[in-house]
Amino acid sequence: MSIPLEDIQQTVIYIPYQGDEDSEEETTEPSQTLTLIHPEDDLDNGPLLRFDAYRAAWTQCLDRVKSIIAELYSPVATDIVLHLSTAHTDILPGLPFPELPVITITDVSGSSVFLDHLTTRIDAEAGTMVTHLYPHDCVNLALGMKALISGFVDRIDDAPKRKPATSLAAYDINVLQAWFDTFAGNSDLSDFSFLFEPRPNLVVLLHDFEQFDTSVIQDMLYICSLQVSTLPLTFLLSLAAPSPASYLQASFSRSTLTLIRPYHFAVPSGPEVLNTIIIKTFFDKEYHVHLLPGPTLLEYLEDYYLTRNTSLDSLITILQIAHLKHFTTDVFTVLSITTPQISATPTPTELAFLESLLIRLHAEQSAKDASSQWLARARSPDILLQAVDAEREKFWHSVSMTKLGITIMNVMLTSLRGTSSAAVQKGLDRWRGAAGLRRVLDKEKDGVDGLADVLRKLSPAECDMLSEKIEPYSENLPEEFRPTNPNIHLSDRLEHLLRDLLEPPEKLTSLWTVWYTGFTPFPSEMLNPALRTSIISGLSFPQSFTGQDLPPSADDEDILEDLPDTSILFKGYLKAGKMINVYDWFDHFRTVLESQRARVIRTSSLTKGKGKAKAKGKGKAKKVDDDVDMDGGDSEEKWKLSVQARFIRALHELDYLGFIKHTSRGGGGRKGEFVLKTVLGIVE
Amino acid sequence: MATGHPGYERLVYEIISLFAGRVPPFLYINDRISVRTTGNVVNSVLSSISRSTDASSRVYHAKINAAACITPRMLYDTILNQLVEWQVKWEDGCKIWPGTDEQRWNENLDGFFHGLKAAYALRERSNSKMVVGYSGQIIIVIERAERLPDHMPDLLVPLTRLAELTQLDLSVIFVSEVPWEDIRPPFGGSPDPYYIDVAPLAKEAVLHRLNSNFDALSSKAPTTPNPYHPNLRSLYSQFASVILDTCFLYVQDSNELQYIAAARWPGFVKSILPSAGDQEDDRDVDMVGDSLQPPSEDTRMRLIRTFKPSFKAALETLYPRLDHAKHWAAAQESRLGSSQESGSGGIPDRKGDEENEDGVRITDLPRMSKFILIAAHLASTNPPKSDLKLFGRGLDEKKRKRRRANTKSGGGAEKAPQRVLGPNAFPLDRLLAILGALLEENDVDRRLPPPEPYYTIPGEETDVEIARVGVYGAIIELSSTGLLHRTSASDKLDGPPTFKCGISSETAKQLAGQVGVALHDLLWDPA
Repeated sequence: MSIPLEDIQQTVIYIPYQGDEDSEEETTEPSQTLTLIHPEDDLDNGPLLRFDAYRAAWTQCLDRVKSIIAELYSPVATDIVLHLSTAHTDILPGLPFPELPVITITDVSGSSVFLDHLTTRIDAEAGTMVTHLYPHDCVNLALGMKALISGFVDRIDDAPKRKPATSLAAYDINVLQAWFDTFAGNSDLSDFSFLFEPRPNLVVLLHDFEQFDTSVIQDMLYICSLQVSTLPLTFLLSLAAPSPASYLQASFSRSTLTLIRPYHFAVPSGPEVLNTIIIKTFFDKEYHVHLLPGPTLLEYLEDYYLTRNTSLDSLITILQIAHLKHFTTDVFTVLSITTPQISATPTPTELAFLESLLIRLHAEQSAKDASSQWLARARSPDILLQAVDAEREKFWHSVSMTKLGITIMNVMLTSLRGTSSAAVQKGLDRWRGAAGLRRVLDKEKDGVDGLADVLRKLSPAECDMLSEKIEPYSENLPEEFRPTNPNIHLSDRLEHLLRDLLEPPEKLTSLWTVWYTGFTPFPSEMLNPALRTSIISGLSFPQSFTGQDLPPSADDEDILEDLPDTSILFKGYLKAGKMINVYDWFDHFRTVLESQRARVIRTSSLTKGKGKAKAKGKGKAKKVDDDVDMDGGDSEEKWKLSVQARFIRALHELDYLGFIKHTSRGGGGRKGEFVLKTVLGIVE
Repeated sequence: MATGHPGYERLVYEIISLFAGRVPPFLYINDRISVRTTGNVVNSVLSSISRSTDASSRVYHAKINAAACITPRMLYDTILNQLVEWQVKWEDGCKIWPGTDEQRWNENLDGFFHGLKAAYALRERSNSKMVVGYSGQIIIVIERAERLPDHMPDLLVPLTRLAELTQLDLSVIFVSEVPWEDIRPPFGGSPDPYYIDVAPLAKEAVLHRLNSNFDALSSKAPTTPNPYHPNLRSLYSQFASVILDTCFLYVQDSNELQYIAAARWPGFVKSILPSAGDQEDDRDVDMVGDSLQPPSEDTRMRLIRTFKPSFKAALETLYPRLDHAKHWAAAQESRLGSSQESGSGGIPDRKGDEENEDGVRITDLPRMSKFILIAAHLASTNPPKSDLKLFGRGLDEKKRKRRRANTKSGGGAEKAPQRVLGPNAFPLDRLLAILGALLEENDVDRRLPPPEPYYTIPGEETDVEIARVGVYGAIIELSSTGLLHRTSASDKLDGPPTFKCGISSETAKQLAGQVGVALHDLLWDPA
């Protein structure tokens, strides 16, 4: 297989694992990355093809999410843009001094999505210019002012050259004033300036406003407010604080507050945003995505969004990871969008791929009723691949019915919101939001069972309204879903209809795993790991991370012998009290190593040349071998030295991980031979 | 000249009389109430002197703001450019005044002295053509002089001794809100200035200022009906005096009073101005003139009676800038509209609104952040020793309650409860421990089942939960948004970071209600 290393167009290059040529021991052990996918039935260029498929699917999903977000955000963005355009003209007359317009944008999710959207909107406005300031630009006043001024001034390409010595300093606001006077024209602002046309607007966007040094910002606002009558500056502050007004009150002095005229805008957030994005992206009948999220993913998404991080960035990240995982774990995801061409005379790898594909296609069918199909498909790759195409079509056709069901359900839920009694609302809450979708899609759960019971509580007027709303959708239904008996009550009719429509996607075709994530768990540890716990459990049970099984042993001491040095030391750490005497610790370590060594000598003398050292870590194991091979008193001296060295290395490893605090030499009579434990009360 | 600055007549006369003779080299004008107005008055008087054609009082005037001039170099440039009336132009690369022989003046203090001399010489040359025998004088006004020690501490002494050092006829005027004693350099480095203390304005003077401000606006205003129509002058004056009656006791700054008046006035006169709909119809000049007759005495009394309660509200909201004038005026207007319909008095209740708004935003926080905030509130109000009793597992409910009751009644000297004293600082570990206890009690059922059932010990999963990266990230994020306050320095690595709770107990209660925590039972000393 050729690896296109030279091709700079490639964003990702897949280099298959070929084993470590230096060590023969390692190649015999299966690596964990290799157990994830099944290389034996993968195509030669499978990873590359799957990467392409992933990229297509993810780009489509991301575009859709982005456009929905833009739609959600556009009302607020429009308000802000409108406000910006009048910020310097719509002034209350009679104020003692002109105020500096300030707009705060509260984004509880703290993500950059909204600001990107807003910036593009503002850039599209005529006469408005935006300069972005970041906290690291403004470590002091001079740098902050310089960044602010150059953000505007440097837009002019053929600017006259300013000499450092004989021109105004780069942080002098008069530079900006001179530039503005030249390029934007200037007329005196009076208290009745609302009679003038809208003027050019200079917008300063401060990202992560909380991270700025407040004193620097106050000085900057003061300087700009002195010039505001001749220089139409507007400050946009992006905050994550839920209450911008009280944040400004708390962080600015009153004298600064008198200079500014703050308006507060909030970016939409909360569960509604999540629901809209999920439903419109994946369950919109008009829009086709290549991967449908399963109940587990939806559940995780909702939990993560509501419990941990209400940011759209994290939402997008989760979706992307889910896509990545989907396209890396299953070889058949190659077939997700298109079917690759395979010639009539397949290579051995292609043959393996086709074979397992055939098995997968017929996994759930009994041999009897599928035998003719099986034979036909087994004869030629073309027929098999055509069958895949048919399956794909079938899956998405059925999914479009599911989508229709979800749309009807959504219409029902929104139209009943706020109109019905509390009991109905409570009953309907089960199906609301992403969690409701999960319930609907999960065949293990009860689906839409019980919906009729809830709907029966509706008043007749509400029933009429509901059926009116649903009418346009049921007209589009295919024949088989049309209600057979129009006389039954609306509630039962709806429940039947929804149950028919909402067929769990995993029942649709045997190849469903290609297009549906189903019940595969989301790798949540990748997104939100518990570091300390992982480190401790890694030190305690290193074998569960390397994937190697320990030889079964009843004795605790025997287990110790099989561990790497740091883990041996860590076991001693766990047993100690608040403080550890380093010499005792070393003694313990030495005894373990010595018994390890004795065992190695024993086994090597028993089976010479066959199974060498069993100890972990090839470097260390080799060292032991070398020591064993050497005989005589000289080697005994060397062994002691090496034990000491290994102890020091392990000790420092624990030190770097932050487990140890050293006592000072001479302080408190400890003379440095004790170390303090920093992590106490660990349960193994 | 003094008529343009009502209330500042004394200051104006003092400056003018000083400039009639020989000006002291260093003046210090101190105004504790409204320094910005004083600075404007001084500068406008000086610039009118410098523009006057009287050759006997020729003045070269430069004004700088010590808060805006951030480096010595910027200060040199600004002063010299102003003295020679040099206009900075973008086209020639924002060049500063080059002097006569392209010398560089802004390198250091010595260069600046030479620059001053050169500037003086240049101005003198251009003047001597007109009147011989009189020499001009350089006046440098430095506003917000209290910021000089921050930005350029080394320049404070040279600036105060500038006349001596340059041997020029020169005077430096510091205008500041702090007294000279507070910024005076040590060891008598600076000579004692000529002090001018600006007394707070009298009520009449402020009224005069408000009225003249109205006159200035109405002269610029269009003839169509607007709040600043000349015919409304007498009503405004009455309005202003009522505002002063209400507010002058608390606020003497004429700017603040003007701010309040400007916020209230448009709403006040709105009812007697023709509404927008009428204006559309009445394009006739006559009609417009008719409609803006000064209101009758009766109307005035009625208006003032209706609006008087809102003056105090305006003071309470606008002086601390809980809201700004424009928004406040709009909010008042809409409130008045709704309250007139319902028939109740238009007394604003701004505070309630504000808190509701905060509450709405805070509900959007993720669930984990809510738990962290509740834990922080508990850690800040409960004494650390009570944690084990309140959250300790294994004790049965009865025992817990009894212990609490005992300790409470057995207290000796009456101590103020912590909720009155404000939040206590607590280390991160304590926050996480309380968070763990809260989650274990209230959040276990909601949790998603872990992918593999490898948590065997009860509470183990919670221990993992609170050690997740997301929790630490949320704590840092909350402390950056001000809902938690970090009390230890961020660059201190030794020991755990300490925090304080930044939310009120009301907000904590609200959050606890949302996530279903029985907060009252967990407080050591509930209100």
